[in-house]
Amino acid sequence: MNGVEELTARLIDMDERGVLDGVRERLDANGDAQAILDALSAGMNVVGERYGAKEYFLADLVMAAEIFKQSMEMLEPELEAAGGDGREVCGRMVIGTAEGDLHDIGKNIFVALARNAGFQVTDLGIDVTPEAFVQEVKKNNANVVGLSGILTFSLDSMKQTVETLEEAGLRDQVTVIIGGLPVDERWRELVGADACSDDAYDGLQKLLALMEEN
Amino acid sequence: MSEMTAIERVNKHINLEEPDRVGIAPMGEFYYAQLVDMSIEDFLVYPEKADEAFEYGFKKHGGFDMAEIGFLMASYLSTVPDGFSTFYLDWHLPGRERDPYAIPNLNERAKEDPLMTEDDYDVVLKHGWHRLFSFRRAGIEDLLRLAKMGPTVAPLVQKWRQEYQVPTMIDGPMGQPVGALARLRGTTNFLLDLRRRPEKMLEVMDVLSDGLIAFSLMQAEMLNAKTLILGGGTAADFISPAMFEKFVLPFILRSAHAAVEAGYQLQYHFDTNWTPMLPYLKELPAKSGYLHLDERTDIVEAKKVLGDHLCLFGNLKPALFRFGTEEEVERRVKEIIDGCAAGGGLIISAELTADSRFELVDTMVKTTKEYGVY
Repeated sequence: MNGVEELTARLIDMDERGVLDGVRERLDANGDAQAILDALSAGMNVVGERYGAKEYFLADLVMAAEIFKQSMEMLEPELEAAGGDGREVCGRMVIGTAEGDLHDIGKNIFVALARNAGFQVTDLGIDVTPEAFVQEVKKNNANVVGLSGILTFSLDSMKQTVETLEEAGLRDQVTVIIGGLPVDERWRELVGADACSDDAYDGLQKLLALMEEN
Repeated sequence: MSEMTAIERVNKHINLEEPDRVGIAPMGEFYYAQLVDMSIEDFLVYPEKADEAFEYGFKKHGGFDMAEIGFLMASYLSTVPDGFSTFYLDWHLPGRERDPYAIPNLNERAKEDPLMTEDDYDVVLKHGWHRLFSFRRAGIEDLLRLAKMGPTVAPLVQKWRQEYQVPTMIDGPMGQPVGALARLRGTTNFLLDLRRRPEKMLEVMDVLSDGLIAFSLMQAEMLNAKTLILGGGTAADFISPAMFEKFVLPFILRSAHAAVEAGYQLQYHFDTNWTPMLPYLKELPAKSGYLHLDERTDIVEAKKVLGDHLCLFGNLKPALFRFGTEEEVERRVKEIIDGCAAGGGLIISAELTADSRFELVDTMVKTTKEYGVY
């Protein structure tokens, strides 16, 4: 196996050096950046599936996301020169940790998975005000809003954000997904979100299913 | 069986014997401040005020089997890299970076901007972890406050143990290096480091472990402690069993055995999902304290695996006390009692958030006392 599919296998094995060297060698040899990206995406999908099946762990997801991110930094100039990464954009997402909350590891993993799935993601970071969400939704013409939080106080900020989107006339334009360890169905109802999850991979599957329905 | 004192009851549970009823000991912290409309800042900084608030809640709920003594600020002012220390981590505290009524919040720091860099592993190995100490969020006056805290807390401890015959829940921390490193590096960097530089991390953890144990035992002696809290570090299901065996378990065991050999009981505070790792916990010293599990661990499974080894403590979901109903709380308490109470070794608890509702906490307490009679 010495084609781009080898990169898929290396990513699944979390072979960071192997993937990065492989990407560099192929680019230096004028390899097809799009084919490399597709191979890495295939690897990320397997990692995600294995995480969903509890064969892989959060540490594996984090490592795979990091390898993917570093690879993208090498690939992006080539892809841009060729007119984009060629993958179908499945949504434009604005995401952040709700105002008052500073936790972000779950959000960061969700962002990595969402980018791999084809979302254009604007990550606003932590402690994000409802007004900032509204502004970025308008600016990016987003159709997905992701709200993350661990503290129960975050519920109020999430609710406030959804209400502010409503007041700005943007609520119907966006699918709102909320995430965080304490988040559950009742929390989703109180916030007025469309989907919820306490797990980044599961959250992405729910979001994709919801977008498919719509 | 005649009613026991809380101390007698908890001792029976820890020794895995049946007392008069199942234990009840919510971990309330700032919930008690909210009950008396006290600012979180006051609750955190003044142990006497925190004790007043706790005692109000204790009496209003008809009594618990453990008392929470106000040593919280001491954790935030720890001079060693405990997970709460403001001298090492970016905790945003009420009355400082946050509103006086807001709870402390840890700024996890972006992956690209960690408090501890990759190069700092070598700094720690060469010079020790105090090189990471910083006055960025606290000052000399805080160190002085810390020094005065022991004498303030001592009479409170005495009151609960001697006068009320209620054991104190936690008297101080028992450090271990995994949690400290995960917070200093940030969880993402920590998880990446486990793969990128495993041997260096083991070396650093080894150094950290010795220092944290020595400091924890010294502090415990100064505080006349009986029970120390030992955290599980990076959540069990964040990493594979192989990584857990290599990077986490040895250091938890080292700290646990050191505390027990020095005569202390432990609250093993193991948040998130420990269900896959429960068999490993048989290696902890038997009857050495109680195992706090949150709602993500299957506590009935824990009873099956560890029922003859450790007292269980938990595991109602904190959000239930804000968003749930009395019926839901009662049902969950009964489920836990039905699954875990036989033979003793069960203390019902939940880590309450500051905005928990009184009537729901009260339902947990009353249901335990009524339904949990042996």
